[in-house]
Amino acid sequence: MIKKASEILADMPVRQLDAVLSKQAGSLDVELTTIGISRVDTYIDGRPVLSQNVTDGTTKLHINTTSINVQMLEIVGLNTNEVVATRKVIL
Amino acid sequence: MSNITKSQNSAQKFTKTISSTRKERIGAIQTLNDFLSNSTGRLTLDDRKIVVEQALTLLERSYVHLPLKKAMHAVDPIQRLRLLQLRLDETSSNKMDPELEFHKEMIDIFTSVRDLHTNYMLPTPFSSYFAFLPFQIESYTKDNQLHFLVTKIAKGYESHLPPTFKSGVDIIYWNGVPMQRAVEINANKNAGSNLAARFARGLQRMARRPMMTSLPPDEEWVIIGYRTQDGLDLEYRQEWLVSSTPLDFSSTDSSVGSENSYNIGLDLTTDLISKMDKILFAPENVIEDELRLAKAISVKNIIEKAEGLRSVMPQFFLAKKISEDIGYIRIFSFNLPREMTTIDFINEFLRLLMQLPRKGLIIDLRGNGGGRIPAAESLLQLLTPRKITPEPYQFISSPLTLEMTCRTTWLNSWTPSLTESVTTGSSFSRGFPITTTNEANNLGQQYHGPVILITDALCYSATDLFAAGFQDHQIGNILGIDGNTGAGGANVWEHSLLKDMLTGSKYELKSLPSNLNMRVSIRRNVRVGEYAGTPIEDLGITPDIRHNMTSRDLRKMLN
Repeated sequence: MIKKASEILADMPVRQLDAVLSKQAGSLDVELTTIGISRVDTYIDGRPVLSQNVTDGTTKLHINTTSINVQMLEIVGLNTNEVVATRKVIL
Repeated sequence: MSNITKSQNSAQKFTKTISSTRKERIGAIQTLNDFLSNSTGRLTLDDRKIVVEQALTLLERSYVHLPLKKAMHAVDPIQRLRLLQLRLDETSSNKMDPELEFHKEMIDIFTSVRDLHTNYMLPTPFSSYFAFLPFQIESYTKDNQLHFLVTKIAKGYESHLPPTFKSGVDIIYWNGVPMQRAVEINANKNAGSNLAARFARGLQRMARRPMMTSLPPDEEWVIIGYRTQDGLDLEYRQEWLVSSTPLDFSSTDSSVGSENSYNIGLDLTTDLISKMDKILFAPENVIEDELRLAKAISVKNIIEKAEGLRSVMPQFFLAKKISEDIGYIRIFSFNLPREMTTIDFINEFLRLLMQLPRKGLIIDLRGNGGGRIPAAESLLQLLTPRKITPEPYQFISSPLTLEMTCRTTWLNSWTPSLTESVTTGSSFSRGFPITTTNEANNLGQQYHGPVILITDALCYSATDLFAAGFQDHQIGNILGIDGNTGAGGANVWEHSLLKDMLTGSKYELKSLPSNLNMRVSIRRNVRVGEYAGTPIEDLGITPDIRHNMTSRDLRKMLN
């Protein structure tokens, strides 16, 4: 049973979308580690702020924030225009 | 067959050899014969009339699956209750049937609808007792034939068994009946709504009878025919044992407004059996961990201090690494005790998940009878980038359900469509979710690797809901040990909860005698996504891929 489940998993695509954040006044530095994602769109408190192509590995983003009271960063990972991974980070 | 060994005085022997931790939970043990000699019912004729009247009200005026069940299983529980009512009206106290016969008929009527949510629960003294045989049986397939393996022996009972009867033997006969046939006969006495669900419960209940929901076994002992691993065919006689301590039935919280009371989707019998199995078979440290958690003032603090893959909630989770790339989490139950929050449950799942490999995850739901609906539905978000649409729940249209939703603030959303149904003739209300959209999505995806789900026919209700959500949101494939899940598509309420809600109304219910209880499917759920609008009840969740358990699978788990 476990062997069969493992074989099925081996045929499925692997994704990764990790984010390490550094918050400054008026901006955010985000270090992303991704696998199986070609583009990330980012949103702060529901508003779109940045869209950037990525490749497997580490990508650094710098995001300007207009308000100092930002509460949530949402990162949406896409592959050929299909949403394949998301991550919400409470700021 | 030869070498019949009688297990005399097995109850006293077991009481002496079981560990003190287990004894604390299982209580004194007696034989079925001793139990039946000392346990007589206390229901008067008037009590019985009240019981039947209340069952009629519940099933006729609030049971959401009644039209489906009448059609699908060609049954008429309402007419059967009316006939029983008539018989009681025509009898006198000194001529009424023995009490067990009355319970037998009531159980039979409730079982006829093949709905594990809709239960007749026996009164005192039966409800506090549990009949069991001291081993566990699981099935596997070999050469297209079903076999039945003894996978576990109750801790402390090993020395009271014949030396040749141990985990790893195949059971081939049960009181002289070939084992598969014996399971099929037992399956027909159970309420599983599809064949796979019925068979799984038939097997599960060969050696377990919680008397809260089942009658005591007819036979006082069982002659077990078994084949040893060396190929010897032998027999031994095992008495049914009865434990006397009430098991923790944590979903019984009938006070209005309590979270547990109105958001439960649970196969009660499977849940009781699962709790009993933990006491009989789990390693000592698991029993101790469970007790520690039960006594904890703050579950949150325990989770924050926890390290490693040993779960602080062993009654709910087992996590391990299968390989460098693949992790495994078994979820035994969603039936959280009332003092545990859904957030505590999700945080412990998340804590374990974050320590597992990232390239593949197996979530194993086998044997999970359900529990708290938001606990199951809120986990889905952690595994998918998709926004989770919680499944909507509908009442049946009836004057009673309309009255109830009008009188209860948190049910007001259902009122307009139930009012409309008077003119439209609609059978059901509109559907609204039990898990809020925020609860289902506030954390978002936390695991990004591929996921596979393992199900079996014991998966029920909140667990069906999890499997349906897994499929409807295209999280991954479902690998089924059986051809279907248990197919429980409803939220279940107890009589006492309905009674509280309807106090002072024209549908006011009466108190049930002797701690007797009933449950009923009150709101049915339908699927979302590709299967939008499809009920789960009776249809279940068909796995994407089938896998018949092999002896290797079971023996590997033994090790």
